[in-house]
Amino acid sequence: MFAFTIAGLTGLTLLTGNILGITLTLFGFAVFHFYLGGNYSAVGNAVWNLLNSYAFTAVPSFILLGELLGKTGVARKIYTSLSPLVARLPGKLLQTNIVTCTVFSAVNGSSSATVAVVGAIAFDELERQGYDRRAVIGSIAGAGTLGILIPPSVVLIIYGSWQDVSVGHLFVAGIIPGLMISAFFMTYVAIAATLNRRMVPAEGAAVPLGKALLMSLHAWPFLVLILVILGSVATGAATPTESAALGVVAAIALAACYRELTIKSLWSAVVSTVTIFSSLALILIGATVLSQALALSGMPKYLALAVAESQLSPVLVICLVYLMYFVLGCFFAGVDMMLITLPFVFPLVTALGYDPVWLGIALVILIEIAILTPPVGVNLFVIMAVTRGRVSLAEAARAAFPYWLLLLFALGLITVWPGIVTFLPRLAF
Amino acid sequence: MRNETGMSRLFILVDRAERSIAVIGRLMMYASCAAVVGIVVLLAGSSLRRYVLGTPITMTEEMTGLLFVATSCCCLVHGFSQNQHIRLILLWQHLPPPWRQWMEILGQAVALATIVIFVRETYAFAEFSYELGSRTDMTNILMWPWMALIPASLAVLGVAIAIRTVGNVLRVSSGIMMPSTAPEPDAPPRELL
Repeated sequence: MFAFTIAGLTGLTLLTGNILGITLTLFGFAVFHFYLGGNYSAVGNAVWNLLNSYAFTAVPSFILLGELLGKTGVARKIYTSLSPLVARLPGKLLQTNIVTCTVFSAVNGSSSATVAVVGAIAFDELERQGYDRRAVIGSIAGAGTLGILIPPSVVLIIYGSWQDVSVGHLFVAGIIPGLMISAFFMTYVAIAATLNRRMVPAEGAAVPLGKALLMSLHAWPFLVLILVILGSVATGAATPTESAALGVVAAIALAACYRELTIKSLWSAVVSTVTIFSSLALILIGATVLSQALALSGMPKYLALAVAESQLSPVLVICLVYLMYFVLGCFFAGVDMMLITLPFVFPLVTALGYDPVWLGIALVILIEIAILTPPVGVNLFVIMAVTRGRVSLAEAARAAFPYWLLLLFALGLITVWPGIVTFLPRLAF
Repeated sequence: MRNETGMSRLFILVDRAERSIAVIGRLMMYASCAAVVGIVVLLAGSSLRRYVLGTPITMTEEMTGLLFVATSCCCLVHGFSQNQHIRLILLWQHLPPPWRQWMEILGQAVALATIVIFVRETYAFAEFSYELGSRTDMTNILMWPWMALIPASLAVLGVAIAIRTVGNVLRVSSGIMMPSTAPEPDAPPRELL
């Protein structure tokens, strides 16, 4: 009867195009009805515990930080400061795109914000200078994914706060994989630009090294911002939640220093934050109801037991989990995919002996892969919007494909050598 | 003639209701914005005071938690009015337009029923806290008004969904296309993070 109801509800949900957050709640209610005798009394407590959570308060703060940096024009400063130095590498300004996305990711927890900000700064200028359009959009859409891996990351905060995993550990764990993927992207661009001379315009003398170094010093306030956010967490001076608020204050001070701060841009950033957060809040509430219902029903425990009894090797189970996320990545935009599956995946994978911190980073890389996967890859759509429709979805997907492969390669590496992820948190804490 | 007048009155009524709920949603969104600003000020102020003055603000954790309740609850209706909530449109968007409209109305009715149960359960939780007179540990703040924000905001969301459903039924039954509430096929998905 339960299976029949769930199948019916799934069909109904898909045919009616219902709101995801409400749908998750509905599925949770179905579990309460069939497995817990219609006793819904845990719903209120579960939702209250989620919303009255100190750790979760970092989520709107980090969204606000990204919005502030984008809307006040501060992000443009870092691009222009780093360009002369980084553009000396093969691939020139394509490398600047990747480095800027990497640096911007260290002060911002969202991938779509990273793509939108760097894309708006770079796309028109690079196209005007004669860079290959596909290479430009690929580098921005691909490197933009780092926004949710390199700390601070909103996805890691949600994962950590929801599953009781230390957000500080997760933040530190994201550093090496994030920098590793960034290095992969830069290596790819260097090789591709060397093999394909038409990718990068030939003309234009490079700025002398001394002058380029001097210009890059103009990016120092960003270093301060990174130190405020990551340094405070890594040294234990502040919790991730506090570091988000300190980052917001530092970003406002930075914008004021650059004379980019206006009341209008400040208000616009706050309103955008609340608007973006509204969609996330309802999903979080729905996912909590479902998660609570599943936990009380004992279903995830039975699933973990069934997998253990089936004698499947942990690696095979992990590969099956990856496969599930690759398929889901074609239909879900990102963090929603994690929220829907985590009630099952977390107990299953941790029961196999995998480190919860490692799982968080693996999930983030799977989300990065998903946001480059058509037909709902968010980064592809953001880059389409940035180019004002001059790039089609198919073109954006083709351009991002090498980066998609490199993310897959990185996922393989951290699966074979989990120490890439767990080494730094063990060292730091 | 009388029917036509009745219909147009109904349309005017629904239109007014839709506008009113959008205004309420916007006012709630402002409250949500204030709560976000409050969270940032409290957290930054608390950590700065701890290190600069050596006097931490003991209520920070409790107050930010309560402000996060306000942030999350007060933004829901505005998100709905602005069609910001993520929808599962994978199959729905490929239905023929008339089917799409009726199925969306059906979906809204299902959402409304879900919200009714949700309001009932979260209200019971807040009511229990009211009866106990429970307060926060450090600051001694009454908890039930904050708990009541959950069923209250869900109830307003339910009203917003109900008004939109009635409006959509009226429009579709009069042969008028429903206003677009979700992306058309091939349109970009909502940006989440």
